[in-house]
Amino acid sequence: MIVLKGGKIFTGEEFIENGAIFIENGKIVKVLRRKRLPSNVEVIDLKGKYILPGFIDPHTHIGMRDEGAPRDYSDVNEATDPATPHIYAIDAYNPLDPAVEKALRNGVTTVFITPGSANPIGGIGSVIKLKKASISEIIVKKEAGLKMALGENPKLTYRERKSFPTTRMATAAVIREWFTKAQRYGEEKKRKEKDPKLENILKALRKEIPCRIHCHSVQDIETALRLREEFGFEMILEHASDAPLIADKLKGKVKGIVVGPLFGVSSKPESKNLSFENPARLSSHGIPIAITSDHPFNAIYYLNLYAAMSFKEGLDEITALKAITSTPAEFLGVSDRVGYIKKGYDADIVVFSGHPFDIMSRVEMVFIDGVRVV
Amino acid sequence: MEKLLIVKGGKIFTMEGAPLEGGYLVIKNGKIEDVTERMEIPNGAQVIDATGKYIYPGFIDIHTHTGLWEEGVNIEGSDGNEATDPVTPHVRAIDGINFYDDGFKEAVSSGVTTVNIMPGSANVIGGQGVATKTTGQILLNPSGIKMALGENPKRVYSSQKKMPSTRLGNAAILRKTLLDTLNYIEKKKKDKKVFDFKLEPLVGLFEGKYPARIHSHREDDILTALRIMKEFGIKFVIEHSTEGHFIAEILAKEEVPCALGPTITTRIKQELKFRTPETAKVYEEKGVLFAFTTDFPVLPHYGLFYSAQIAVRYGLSEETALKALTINGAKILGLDHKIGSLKKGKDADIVITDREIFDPRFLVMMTIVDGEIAYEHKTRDDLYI
Repeated sequence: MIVLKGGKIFTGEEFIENGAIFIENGKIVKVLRRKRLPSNVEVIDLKGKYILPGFIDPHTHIGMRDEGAPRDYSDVNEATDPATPHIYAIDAYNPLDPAVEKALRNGVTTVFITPGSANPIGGIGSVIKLKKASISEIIVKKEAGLKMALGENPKLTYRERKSFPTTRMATAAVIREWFTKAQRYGEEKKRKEKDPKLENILKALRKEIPCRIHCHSVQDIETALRLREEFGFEMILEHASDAPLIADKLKGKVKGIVVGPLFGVSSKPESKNLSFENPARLSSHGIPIAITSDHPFNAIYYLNLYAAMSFKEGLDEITALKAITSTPAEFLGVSDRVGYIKKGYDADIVVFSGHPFDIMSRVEMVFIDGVRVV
Repeated sequence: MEKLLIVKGGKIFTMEGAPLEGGYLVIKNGKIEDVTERMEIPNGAQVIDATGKYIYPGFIDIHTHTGLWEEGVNIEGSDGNEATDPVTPHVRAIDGINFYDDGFKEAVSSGVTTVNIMPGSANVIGGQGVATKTTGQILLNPSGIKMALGENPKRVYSSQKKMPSTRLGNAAILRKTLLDTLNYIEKKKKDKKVFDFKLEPLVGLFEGKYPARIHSHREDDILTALRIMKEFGIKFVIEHSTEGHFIAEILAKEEVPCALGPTITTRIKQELKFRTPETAKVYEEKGVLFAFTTDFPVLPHYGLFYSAQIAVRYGLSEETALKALTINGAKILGLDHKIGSLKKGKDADIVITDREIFDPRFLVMMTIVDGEIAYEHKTRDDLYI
């Protein structure tokens, strides 16, 4: 049993002053608001520190394109076929990507890894922990979302190959065709053989996993809304630069929006409305938001600073902290295990020397499953 | 209390008989409630004084690519032609339209309130069009299946060394796909498992749910369209109809409606060689149902008025020109119960101008769509053309 005592604890919902977190067998066994400690435990005094749930980045390609590796080492996009629902990001994950260690040292303990946005239907993403263990041990949820993409990326990818789809019209047609096939496949009573592509789309149609739809511009967001209307899947929008323009249409239709990468200039026409103001604007419409680095597009190890910048541009402090802890846990369907400092949760905890939005604060300790890794 | 908007005074071109001088146009809940010579204005009504001004139904352009080729954006904003396959009936224009594109702003401030947005003409069968208000309310989806004959599909696919590289190829692909669809319809009747995502949208053509909208410039291409569509019993509209004046009698006799335009471009390709500003006049004489079009972004939306003005200069009556900007387009879209004239029960899409639209100096003072003011001209800075 380890006890983390004192400091300011962010539970994933609120701050507690001078509480105590009891950790045993990798789990948080209790969180006390006032410390009255037994004598036979190892106590770590964290007076003056900030203690938070390990950060969660809900949209990354970490381990799929190693830092410093040449471009052709990338495993992000299987850009040979516009519909690849049967591929899994986890099959490319390299735990020795130098970014993993850096992310961990900066408090990121859980990530969603996902195929890229070259294909209208990209594949399955997984939730993993950034700890050193075998792949099977780091998986929190193997099938956590079906990655899809609208807009410039698929059309420009296949334009180079001179094959369908080279327009937004055709990108939507690819999705519509495959989802229609899967619908009909799902209705078949006697099925002779399993189709690996349609099986995975069926999981989205049955709402076992959400569709994670890459989109930026307003017409792509509206296409996502129409597709959801037609097929009745659950959806989370990725990036969604123009979403604040039509926020009123999105409330209740999206499970949430993953905003980012925000640190940089718009590199393409469709992301021209990318801004650190977007999280606040969306949140003010009651839309749940999580913040992402989209690593390696922004560095994952500054995740807290992207939340800080969003805070600076008007997002309230608690929502900004939730956007890198409990909200992404909800989006990923793992909010029963991570994202909170609460009884029964995995003991994934990060200790900062000061407020995590203060640029001078440092990560002093990181625990994953109760084991101190930093 | 229900909101009442009253446009008072001015010359009202209702397109339902002679214009009304100094009347009242009453709008309630987005619809036209009444067009009347006299009335007592109820308390609480919002009144727009249009004395000395001209009042028209919202203008209609039945062939555009608004928002599908975004303004000022190159490849990234270009979504009109899926030029990888000559047969793409399964793609939909609506999936590529950016309703926040400046093209819509320009349309509204030009008084164009309804557009029919279609895929381009690279493919023999290009995909599904959508008729929409320029403020974003969808009217018809799909509004028809875009098809193309003549130079465009030839040029696109001969450069890819694929069929079709000739007019023969265009016609053969069209005919074969329609035959495939007929076979498909039969197979579906027998076996519920049969499903073809690509052919499915073409079934609606045979059921008469929506027409084929066939891009054709040259007389022989128009006649090819007529021949094939008659063969299969499909309703259709000729898009552009550049050489339609040569065969206007046939078009009238066969009751083929035409989208006419863009009529004021240069002759950038061989099949535009016989473009003349007199086509509209010939259509009027022979009784062809037609509407002007800009083919935006080939012309800006306000090019609709220049097209009409030039046609009038070359002999078209102002009366028919006005119809070809309003009610005819509504008829060709099958939406004349809803838009195209100022009549009780129709959508309150209204344009107020300071001069008659055949005076090239005219300015749009106000555009109302579904009873809401969508554009109002106050200073020169408002102009978005």
